[in-house]
Amino acid sequence: MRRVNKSADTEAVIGAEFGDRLADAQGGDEAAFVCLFRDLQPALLRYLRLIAPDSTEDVAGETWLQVVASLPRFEGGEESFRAWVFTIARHRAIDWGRSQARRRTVPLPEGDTGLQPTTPDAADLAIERISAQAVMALLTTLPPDQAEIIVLRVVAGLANTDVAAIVGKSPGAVRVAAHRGLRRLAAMVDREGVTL
Amino acid sequence: MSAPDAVPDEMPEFSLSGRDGPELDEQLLDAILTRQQLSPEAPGQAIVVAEMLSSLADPVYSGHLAGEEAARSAFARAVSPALGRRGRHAARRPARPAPARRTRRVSVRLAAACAVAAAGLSGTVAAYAGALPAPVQDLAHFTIGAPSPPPPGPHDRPRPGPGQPGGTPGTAPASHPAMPGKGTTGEARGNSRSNGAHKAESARGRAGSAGKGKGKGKGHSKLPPGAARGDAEENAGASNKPQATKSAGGPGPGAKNAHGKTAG
Repeated sequence: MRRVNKSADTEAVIGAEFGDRLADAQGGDEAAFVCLFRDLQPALLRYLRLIAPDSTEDVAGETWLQVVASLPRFEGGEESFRAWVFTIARHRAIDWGRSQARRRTVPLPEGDTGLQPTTPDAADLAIERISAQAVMALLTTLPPDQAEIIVLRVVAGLANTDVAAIVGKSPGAVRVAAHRGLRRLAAMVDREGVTL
Repeated sequence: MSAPDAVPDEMPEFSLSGRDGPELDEQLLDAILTRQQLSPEAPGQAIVVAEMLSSLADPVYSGHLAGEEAARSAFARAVSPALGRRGRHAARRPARPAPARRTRRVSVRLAAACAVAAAGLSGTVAAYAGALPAPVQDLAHFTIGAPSPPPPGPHDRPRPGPGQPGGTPGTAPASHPAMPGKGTTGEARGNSRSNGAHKAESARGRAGSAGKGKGKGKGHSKLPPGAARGDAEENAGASNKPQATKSAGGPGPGAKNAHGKTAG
């Protein structure tokens, strides 16, 4: 399996070149689209592992399908683009959860799958760093809204107002929820004696 | 309870220490949320949390790029029809052939012109056939030499107007309060036709020469000047109801002359 370390095309933020990349992608340049994809996909997967742990890859695929379909009509900067993609991802996760709830007739046995990232590829699980697993496990112990807001703020790198728009709360409520979540995380770290 | 939380001083023996974690400065928490570098003096838990979240934000393995091929293929499928809708690329293409739009405009204009021509031709034919209404036939008679309208029969005799025998004295037609001369002219024409077609023809022939002066007369602007004048001239031969025309109000100077001739 191809191992990709953090490199130029997987930087978290494209920066000043974003406008050109976006314009090229809107014009049909596949390389430019791949650049946008690689910029967002890691954070998107981690966000989806939190809010849709059972269908992360599927929801991510549907998210990108919609992004591709609506990309020619998008207007805005990099931050707006990220907020737009994560908004789509959240909606797709909600839709996916509803559709699965309709289809499901036999309840699945509950394990601790909610605490573990679920991917079909066992090799990926093995590769993932223990610290990331631990952080995800810690995040999933938070109230869902706090965990989601923290991931959107920190992992997705969205502004407070963008997160507020995505989760449907006021910016003040988002800030309070994020602070409470961070304090809870700090308390857990303190209790568990986690050190760097 | 109006406030969401009680302040610690209100409940001194109740511990709030473990509820939301250690007391961390809000600025410190905001710094963690925005992935800023924390100062070494920051609490240890805060530094640990910040490092953990930062590590979560960094892509570290290829599984994070899972689905790239699917996204690529979806992009390739979607981008080709989308290109046709993009204005930016549409601008690069040669403009849509203008002749099509021009042809559409020309055909619309041609159809309108044909409709107008057909209406005019049919109107002319109808005028020469004498099938038009009497006022229009009058107009056609004096403009294009079409036959004059046939004389009305006895059933065409109009009702007595205001001021005429059997009419309401001294009142203008209610439907045209601002045009008192219109009703007067109608009465004159109706009376003249009852006297015979040959008189009407001769009267129109005379009136045609003086039509310009008649056109300036008050109250007759709605009808062809010659027609009204001719009707007035016909009234001279009919020798009836000059007072009624005057009382109806507003006849033009030509009509006055005609009635004066009648009275004389």
